[in-house]
Amino acid sequence: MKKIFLALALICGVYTAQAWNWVYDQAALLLAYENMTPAAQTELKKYLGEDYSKQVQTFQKARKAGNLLESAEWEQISLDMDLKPVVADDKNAIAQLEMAVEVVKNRATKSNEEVALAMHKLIELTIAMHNVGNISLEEFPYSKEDFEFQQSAGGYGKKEKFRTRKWKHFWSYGFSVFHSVWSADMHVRELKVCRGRNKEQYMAGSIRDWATDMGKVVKPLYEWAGPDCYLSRLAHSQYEELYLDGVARASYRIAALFNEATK
Amino acid sequence: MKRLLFVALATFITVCPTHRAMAWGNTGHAVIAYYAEQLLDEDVKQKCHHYLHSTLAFQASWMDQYRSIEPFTECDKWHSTNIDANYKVVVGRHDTAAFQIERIRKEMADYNSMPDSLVKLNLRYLIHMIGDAHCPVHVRWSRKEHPEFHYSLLNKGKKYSYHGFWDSSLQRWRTKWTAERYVEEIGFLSKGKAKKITKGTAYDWTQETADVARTKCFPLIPAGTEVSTLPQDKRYKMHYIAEQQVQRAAYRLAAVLTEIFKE
Repeated sequence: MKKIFLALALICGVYTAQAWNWVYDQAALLLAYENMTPAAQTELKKYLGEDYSKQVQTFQKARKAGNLLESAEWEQISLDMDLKPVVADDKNAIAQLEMAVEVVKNRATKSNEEVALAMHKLIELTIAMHNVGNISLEEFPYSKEDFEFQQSAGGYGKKEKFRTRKWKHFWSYGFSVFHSVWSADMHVRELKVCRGRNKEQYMAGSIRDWATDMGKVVKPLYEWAGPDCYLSRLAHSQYEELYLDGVARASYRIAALFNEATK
Repeated sequence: MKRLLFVALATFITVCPTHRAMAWGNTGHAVIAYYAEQLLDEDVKQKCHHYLHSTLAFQASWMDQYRSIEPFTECDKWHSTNIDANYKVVVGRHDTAAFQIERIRKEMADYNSMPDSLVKLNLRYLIHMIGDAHCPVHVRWSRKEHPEFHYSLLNKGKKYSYHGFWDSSLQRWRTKWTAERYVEEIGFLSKGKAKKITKGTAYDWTQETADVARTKCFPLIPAGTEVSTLPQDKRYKMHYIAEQQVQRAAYRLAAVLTEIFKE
């Protein structure tokens, strides 16, 4: 019985919360590192090691191994009708991030494991809260669900074919197919060229502001998208801009959190 | 009546391409664009980034993604160039890659007086079409004049497109290679060689591609070849041809961009 529950929890974990494709997560962290203060860079390497850039998606990996199953909930954010974050308990990215900042600030009194876990949260939950698939809006109840929609799968005009896709999976992996040959370094360069000018704007504000910020980005999307909607090739290409925007915002904000916590 | 229908059908087959070509695929186009970017002087690169709001590689397959979307359907035919009965490139046809590359090259001489959006569009076209002009299956051989160049291959015993085979020739059997890895493997040319290969027009480059297709590609992979068990020496030759074409495309793309933007 216990095994069945564990298997169910694992399956739910995998499907309810996901990061982006691994290379994008790594790129987000590499770009964040470039924008950290020397003190933040030193602390990051001290607790996560020299190979810090490879330490992404650790919560996902842990869940697959049956550990930290509650981390699936940490990756979600909910926004009310005014796009203000709902933080009723600690089962969401906002509360977890705010606590993690405090742990890193007070690292002198914490164990190495606690600080390392908090740093992983700063990285992975900031990434998670910028993934459209992890954001639910009170106004659109189905935004909590991994609903199915129809995505263009080739063919043109009347011959265009559509395939059933899962919404959350699409926002995690739906764009990497265009860039299978891209390394994390290439993504970093792309993010700097296409979004670098917004750096200061992205880094300003609090975690709660960023959540509202993402709500504003996501709301028009849900005004159109929902169960059984049809996603054209054009919309897919246009959504890639949103996706990239999310990666860029996450990158610069990871840096902002580390800079703040290690001041 | 039957005869009339037959003639109509035969004409339709002759005129219309039987395969919707996606030269080089996302991989090849990204590699060419990334490679070209490594060859650009900093000022030229910055101008490209300024107009594109991205790296060259990010725009490399834009023309494939938008070819079926209004108002860009006009460029659907600009991915290849016709070859006549004497194996010579057809000059002056508007619906060919070579014609459009040369048209845009001339127009971009005056890019300063163009709206930024048009400069961006023209850059997207050049990045893609110069890649296409070097793909051995992106020269159009009329079925009537060159029936010998219209055949299929086999993949695990099943009919397999010759066109598809060469479109994916660069990345075939090379999983997980990044664009950086491809460029590293292909290497760079000496200044003298680079200067030599970047001379000429898109018509000259397309003629060279047609000659490569006729004298190297077709003899290497004849009709009915089982590609899943292609011998090592043929794989090596196939990769060499693809890499050489990618290198030529990258150097020529860089030269065209330099010609446009270099002060």
